[in-house]
Amino acid sequence: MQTRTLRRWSWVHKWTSLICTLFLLLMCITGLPLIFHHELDELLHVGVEPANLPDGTPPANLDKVLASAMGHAVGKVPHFLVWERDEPDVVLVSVGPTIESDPSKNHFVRVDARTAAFLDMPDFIGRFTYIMFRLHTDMYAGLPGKLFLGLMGLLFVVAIVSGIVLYGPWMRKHDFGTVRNLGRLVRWLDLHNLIGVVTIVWALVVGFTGVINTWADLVIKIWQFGQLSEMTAAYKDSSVPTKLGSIQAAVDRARKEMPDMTPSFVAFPGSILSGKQHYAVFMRGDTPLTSRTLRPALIDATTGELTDSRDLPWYVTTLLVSQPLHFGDYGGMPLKIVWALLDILTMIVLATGLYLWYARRRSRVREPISQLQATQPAE
Amino acid sequence: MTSSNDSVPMMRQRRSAAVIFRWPLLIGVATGYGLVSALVADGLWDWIASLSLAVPVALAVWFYRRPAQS
Repeated sequence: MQTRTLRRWSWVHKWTSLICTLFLLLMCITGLPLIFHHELDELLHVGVEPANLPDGTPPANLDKVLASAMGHAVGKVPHFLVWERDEPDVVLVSVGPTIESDPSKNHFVRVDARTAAFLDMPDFIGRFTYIMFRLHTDMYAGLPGKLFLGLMGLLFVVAIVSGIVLYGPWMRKHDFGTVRNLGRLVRWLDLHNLIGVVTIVWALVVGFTGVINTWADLVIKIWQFGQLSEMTAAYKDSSVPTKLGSIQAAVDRARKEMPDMTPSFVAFPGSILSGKQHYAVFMRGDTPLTSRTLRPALIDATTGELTDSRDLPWYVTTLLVSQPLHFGDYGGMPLKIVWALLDILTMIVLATGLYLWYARRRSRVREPISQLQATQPAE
Repeated sequence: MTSSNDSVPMMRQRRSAAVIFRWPLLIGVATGYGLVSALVADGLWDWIASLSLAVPVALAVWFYRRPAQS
């Protein structure tokens, strides 16, 4: 490769890394506890457990579950009813002050899925995991914060690619895995190269799926204006009915339409994931991959009739599949532990990279590119 | 490309791209396999996936702890 080209890549690597490193370190630090958020929540917060009933106890009627939840959320309206993957015996009802209110500020009412008994309404805003989550996703700055972090993620991806380009010529003189003991600078440079190169694929996948996740709000908006409004076109001018029909009947109707699938959550009429007149029952599959993808059935909330059901468009499916690949929550505890280790390795790459830039600047040690040139004729 | 060993006896061989990227490529394949297989299958496969994802971690630790080269 020509020196000039190499110099350009070196410039790209330096600047994309420098701009994103501090934010990426924040992502790695806050992401580490988030890998174990479920375990941490269980450890740090006492939630009311669902009743200890024999396996196979049939679920309670959802209208009872909803009534039980709303009895403890006076003055609020339901947005979503959610079956949690990790807690199959609990139904969550997400409630907000009005149906138009920002759902990210919702509260969750936990109800026993089999007895319909109210469990609790935890205030998670002050939780450690919630603070980590906000710092990780938008730094408490809403959509602009998300999009900014997405941009940092893109720079991270460019930094990785330019790092690979620089790795080739640099390693012409070294065996794979060389870590030389020639002072801290050289040692850390070798470590940066070694750890950087072994984590390439993981860092690219987690980095880019993270970027995709920052676009979630936009993806949902596109879906609302696209497929969802097509599906509810006949109801365009209707308003949210004051009296809703049975939610149990709506879920039963969706199950009848998709007998091989399991309900994942229901969006109430007027919420961001449904039409004004419909329950949107989102069904998921049962294999690890299909359980991450969803198919909505729109059930008329007054008549209980099925209006439409379609597969989600590719851009929503991409978002849904990119989520587990970012969270590392799809292979049990062993995968989570490896995820955490890779996260720590990434932190080392970021920290050594930052150190190398700082130390070189201070000591005016020439860049590896000029060392490459200097050592070409004789070694 | 011919080996430079014949013409410059003192010079260590400069590695070709194939040699340089052989290990990174294998590690990348192991990582990719781990990432995808845990997504499409459960049970034992989750363990195999985690193990293949642990390959880069193990290699990083191994090379780091190896007596340093000069």
